[in-house]
Amino acid sequence: MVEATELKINPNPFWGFMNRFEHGLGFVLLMLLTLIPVIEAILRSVFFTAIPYAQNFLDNLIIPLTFVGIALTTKEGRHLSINIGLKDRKDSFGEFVRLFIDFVSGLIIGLYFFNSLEYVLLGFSSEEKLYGLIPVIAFMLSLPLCMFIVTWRMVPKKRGKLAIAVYFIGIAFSTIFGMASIAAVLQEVASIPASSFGLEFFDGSWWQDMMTVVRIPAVIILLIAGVVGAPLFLVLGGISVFLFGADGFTFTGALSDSISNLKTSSTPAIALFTFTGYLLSESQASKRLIALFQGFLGRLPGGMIIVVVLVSAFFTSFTGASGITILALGAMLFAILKDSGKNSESLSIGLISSSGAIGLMFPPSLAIIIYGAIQMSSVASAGGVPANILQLFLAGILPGLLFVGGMIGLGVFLSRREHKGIHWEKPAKWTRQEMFVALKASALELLLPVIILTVYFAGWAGIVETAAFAVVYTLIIEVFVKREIGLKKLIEIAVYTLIIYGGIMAILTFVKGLSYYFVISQFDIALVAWAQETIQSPLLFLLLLNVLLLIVGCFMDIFSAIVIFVPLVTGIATVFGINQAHLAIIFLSNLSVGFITPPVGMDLFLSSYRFNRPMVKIYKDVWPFVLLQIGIVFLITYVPWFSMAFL
Amino acid sequence: QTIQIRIATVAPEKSPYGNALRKMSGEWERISGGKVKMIPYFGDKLGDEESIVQKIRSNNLQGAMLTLAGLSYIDKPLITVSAPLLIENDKQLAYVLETLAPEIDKRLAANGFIGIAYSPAGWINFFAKTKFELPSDLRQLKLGISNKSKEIYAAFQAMNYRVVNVDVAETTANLLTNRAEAIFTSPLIAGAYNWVGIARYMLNFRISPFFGGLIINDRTWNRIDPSLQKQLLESARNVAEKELANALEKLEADGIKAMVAASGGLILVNITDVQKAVWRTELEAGLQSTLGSAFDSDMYNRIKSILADFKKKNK
Ligand code: NA
Ligand code: NA
Repeated sequence: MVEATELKINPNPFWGFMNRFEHGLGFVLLMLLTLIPVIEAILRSVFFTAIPYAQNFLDNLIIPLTFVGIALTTKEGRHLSINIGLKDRKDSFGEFVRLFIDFVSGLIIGLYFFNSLEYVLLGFSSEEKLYGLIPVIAFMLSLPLCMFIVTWRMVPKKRGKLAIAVYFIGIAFSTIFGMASIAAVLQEVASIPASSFGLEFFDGSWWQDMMTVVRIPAVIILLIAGVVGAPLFLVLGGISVFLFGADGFTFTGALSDSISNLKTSSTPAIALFTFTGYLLSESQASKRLIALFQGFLGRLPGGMIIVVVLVSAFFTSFTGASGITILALGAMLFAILKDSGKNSESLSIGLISSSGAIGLMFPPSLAIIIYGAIQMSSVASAGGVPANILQLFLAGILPGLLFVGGMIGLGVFLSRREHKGIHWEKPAKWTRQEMFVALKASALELLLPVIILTVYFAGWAGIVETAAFAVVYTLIIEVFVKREIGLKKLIEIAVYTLIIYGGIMAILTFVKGLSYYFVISQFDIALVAWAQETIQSPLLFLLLLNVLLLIVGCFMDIFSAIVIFVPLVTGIATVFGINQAHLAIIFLSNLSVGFITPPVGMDLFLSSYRFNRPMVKIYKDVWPFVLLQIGIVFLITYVPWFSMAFL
Repeated sequence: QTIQIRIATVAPEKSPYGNALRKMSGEWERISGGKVKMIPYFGDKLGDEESIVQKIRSNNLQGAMLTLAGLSYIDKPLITVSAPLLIENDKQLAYVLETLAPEIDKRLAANGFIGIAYSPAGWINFFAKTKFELPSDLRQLKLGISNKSKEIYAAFQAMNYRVVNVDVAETTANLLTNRAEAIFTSPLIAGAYNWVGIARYMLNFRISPFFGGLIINDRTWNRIDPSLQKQLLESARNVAEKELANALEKLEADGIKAMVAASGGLILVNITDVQKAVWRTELEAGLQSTLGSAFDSDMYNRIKSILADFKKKNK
């Protein structure tokens, strides 16, 4: 498990200082991201005033924060990848696979570096200043700087000269395929006309011709690299770099989308809720909570299963994004299942990984809120009747309960089957006195969800401010009241938060390329046209929708998927007369199951991360739950009653 | 060789903007004999306006139909056109826009963009969950403004309103939970997202105008033959000035009527001339204090002098 133990510090005094500086910077940025929204909300609610341009400052702050995170993730070697075992083989084939990965890594990270330089230098003017002082471009430069550091950190220093040479050959190739960006940058910075490279325009240039020729082999090579274990943020984004090139432009447009995604409210919320989770799991809070749950539910066979499913559903419902639950509570839930519940590691990991998204249907789910906003205009413009937020929440209740009930049922069944063989001593029954003591010890942490919901629903805070409140509240408890976390430990926890956050954001930032390619090549429009032409029955439409969304759930985070596919899907569904609230539930439940369906899925990655287990192991652990959830998705899809009962 | 021009707009396809863009695209293809092909992208598929501007700078896109907020990402002083109660009606707006157009062209050109056509695009009003008439009423309420309009956000903050940043996607939830009790937006947008069902009271007093502009980056535009450029410009301006402007004006008026007629719909708060004067004094003073930060002094003075001209002519 990723525990906040000693962080690696370079023994060289200079580099050691730089490491500490990087940690310190990450900590300061994360604390600013926490404190500014809280102060802002308090000033607004109590003193009727505000910090000028605070929101603008936060929007810029998230950028260096994210790229410090990605640099840290790289340093710790924690980028997400698929590992089918080939790259670990000791024979010469294993070495070949590793060199192949080195080459691809050098190639793509080099391309990212040149693309990000082009994006920042050409996309931003140096005149825009924050508080008339700090140029906005200074924040943005953290992107190419980060790519440079990542390039350096990915050099396979420990694997010998050949590996290093192959990696740099990859980088050399990146200067050829990245020529468009290089020419644009040289023109901007050194006034060397891009025409001297024959690249005053990318479309119609030799560069576009070259990219068109290499496109298909490049995609195949990258897919193979991904399967054998190259970091996914390189593989999936790299594919789109070649696809864009064949269309005559670089990765910059996709980067622009990724950067604006950072500025939406869900991204800081991911960082802050992860921080909260780490603070809880690194203090003694998890132990206190486990003792409590054990006391109340320990004697019930499968009692811990119920606790874990309910806690997961509850937590996901207010973080809105699946996966954060696994990150924030994974360690604690694992301890509850394995240590208190005496369940096997497989069952524990399987249940936690597959419970990550089941709360998505309950209020105040951000996913439902965003879905509601996006479908509003697209349904209306397709001539249908849009559903409002309240209808969507009502529609989600029974389907959400089906998921929760199903997971509890299957979990308890599997748990009891495991317990049959072994001697399992029921814990002694607790006295009222003991219950009271345990309750009192955990009372402050138990209040956290109550406080979060109150702060949000009383209108004191939006989602980012709520997440920031959660951090501040947890800090007060664990640092000042319980005194279980000191400053040194706090910095370590912040750094570990950023390592995890960086891993997620590397994927979200670069995989955006694929969804962007979809839109810019008008594949989305073609898809709707094709569907209207070919699909005759609503049932067939729903079936295809199920399959499509399961696949989409593999590659996209829920927010990108909503933005891209909701307008398409709602448009087609209007033609078939499918109720929009029902459609929303189908859409979200399908996507959430896509996150846990092997071989690719966000929750599978996060789980592999959090529990430090290979992907293949996670596949094995989740499959019974995946089958169950697919079954529930079909039930929800073809029995509209579950979504419509309260409408 | 065909010149492809990818044009993005955050407006939906089935809107006056969408229709205008489709029409221009067809006209351009016809006039150029298929040599200039405009590919429009609608809705927020290609990101918000800040991101669209970046994509044009890096030639991922070649142009866009932007709102004033988007144009001010290219040239910040332009946002001053929408300074509260500086311009007060459609006629003033049309006159200012007509006079200012060559200057806007120059400002955009200095940043690598060609202004193809501009058109008035509507007005921004206050909406609230409770009835309000005066600035002092509004000051009691938490006022949600998207931080995407940085300058407007900062201006109201400087005027001591209780401004909260509301994401478009979060606005409904923010209104439901009272995190925002009032919003500052256009009736068309408030209607499209059904915010008017929650913040039902609209002050029937237009605060800020905005306009839209079709722009193309110069590196694409310069590839077009100059004689053809002239014809394309003419055709686009024709669509924007004649058809788009009228369609938008009508849409806003019809939209408000329909929202008022709907059950549980919009309630117009009509105020007296005395109350309007209170708003003017208040917002004017606020505006003065934000000149040089949120709004640009030179641009402000320029618009003032254009308006003085306009008043002279219409005496
Ligand atoms: Na996001
Ligand atoms: Na999947």
